Amino acid sequence: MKEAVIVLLLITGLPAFLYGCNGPGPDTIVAQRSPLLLKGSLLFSNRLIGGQVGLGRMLSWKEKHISKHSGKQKITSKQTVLYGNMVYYDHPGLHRNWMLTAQYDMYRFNKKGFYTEFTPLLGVSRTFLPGTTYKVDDAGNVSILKLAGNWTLTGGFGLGAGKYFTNSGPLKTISLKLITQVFYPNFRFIAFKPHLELNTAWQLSKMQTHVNKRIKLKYSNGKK
Amino acid sequence: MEKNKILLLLLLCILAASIIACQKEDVGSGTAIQDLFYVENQGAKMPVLMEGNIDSGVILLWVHGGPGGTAIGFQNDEFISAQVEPKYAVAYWDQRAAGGSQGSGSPKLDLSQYVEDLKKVVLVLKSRYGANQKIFLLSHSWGGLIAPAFLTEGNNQDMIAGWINVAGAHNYIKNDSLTRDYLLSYGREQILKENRKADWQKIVDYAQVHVPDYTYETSIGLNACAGDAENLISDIHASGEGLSSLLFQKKKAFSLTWMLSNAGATYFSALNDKIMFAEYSSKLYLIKLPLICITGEYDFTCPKGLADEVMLRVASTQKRLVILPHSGHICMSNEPEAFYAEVNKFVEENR
Repeated sequence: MKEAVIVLLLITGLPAFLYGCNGPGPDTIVAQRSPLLLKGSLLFSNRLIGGQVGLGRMLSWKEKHISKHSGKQKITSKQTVLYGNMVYYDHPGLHRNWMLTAQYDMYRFNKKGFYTEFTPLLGVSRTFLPGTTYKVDDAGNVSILKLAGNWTLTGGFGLGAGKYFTNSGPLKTISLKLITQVFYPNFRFIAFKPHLELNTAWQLSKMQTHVNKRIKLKYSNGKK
Repeated sequence: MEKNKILLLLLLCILAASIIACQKEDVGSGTAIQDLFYVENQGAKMPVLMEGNIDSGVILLWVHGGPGGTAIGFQNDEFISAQVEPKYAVAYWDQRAAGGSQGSGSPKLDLSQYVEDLKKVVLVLKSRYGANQKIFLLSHSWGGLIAPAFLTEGNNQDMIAGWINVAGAHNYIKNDSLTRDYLLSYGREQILKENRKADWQKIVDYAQVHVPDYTYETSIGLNACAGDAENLISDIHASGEGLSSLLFQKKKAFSLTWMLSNAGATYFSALNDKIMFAEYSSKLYLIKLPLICITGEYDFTCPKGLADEVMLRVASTQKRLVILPHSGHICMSNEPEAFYAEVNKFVEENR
């Protein structure tokens, strides 16, 4: 169990730390209301297909306003959103898998609402084998094992890119993400499965939470 | 609120459907079955893919190589589908910590556990398809250590109709000695003939200083040299099954990443150190089953000296040795037509 925690923390924690590193503190803090996000995803690879629903809450919102000599202003933005997900996929012939995961999405926005994201995730997984599973006792009697499968811890990380929609409609983002997911234990070792996720996030405008938007002003000559 | 209820209901339906579908026992019959089932034993859930003619009353049970290989992903190629499955059923069993098998945190990985697994797979086959089914073991390489360990234990032979021993490794330390001897003798011959002299010299130099010493490091080093040696021999027919077939195949119950994870689990376990001391030379006299040993002329990994010893020591009255002239260690892929013709002939003679 201790090994599992170390493995999963290494897989998820270190890259998250590196991605999330920031400079000095903000200049301005603005209290904002942010809607909860409902995520719907399609999971796929050449062998598996599945779906995911999740509920997300924005945790942080940082903006950097850089004023240039020309008078133009460049704004870069970072956001983090915590999602709780229910995931199902079917890998024919291997297993069907139900998972509960928590994932921490870190977005870095570029021009025109395009963004890149990095996502560490942690959760639990329960697989179900896709065929009759037999058990044989010491006397040689054969019986059928119901609900055969395994409980495992799951973790991993995802890298993706997407588009944020600024219009007033409920659809806020569409993104494509490569997830490398690991399961522990599998024969005292890790098993890994990569897949792609096509994600959509919808805002639930009636359910809102507070988030502090931190704004940092910067001039291109380096002075504040 | 109504939408939320519908969503919840939908999720519950999917969950129920996925679980119910897992529990349905679906036993195939006929001349072209394709059944997938699992055998659970001591923390391991091992897939068995059944393909072919179950009405024949004959099942060939693959005991694959490795440890950590796969029968489902590697052995069920187009040749066996075309030449064997129309005649007999073939059971592709992925062993624990191999192929598509799935395990919890504490399964044992030692030879006695693999033997117990094999026994339980045989019992399930008999229970599922009928006690009258004639089961032939078709073991390859590391599977050729599991098979004699199984056959020489208790009354296990009574459940089996015959043993097809393909490049089997029934005695690990002898295997390493034979590998080294063959690398030295064949390599020196090639150096004298000035045939890829530099490449052979490297292999000979390595074998010269690495005397088998019951360590996995020496064993795996000689094994790697054996693979290198095969790559230098143009007389070996190219294998149809390559990396691309593993990557792009659509075989049921196969996941390349899962197979690699399992191979890692085996590699990093203590199994490889333990099996260095495994030998069944001294127990082969207990085997009375019909036997065929098939091996490749250029098999440096499990040289034909191993098959010679099996032939000499078993008590079987019906036994035959076949050496495929253009094959290395994976002789079923190097000369599949000749290989499966011999398999079919042996089964017909002993069914």
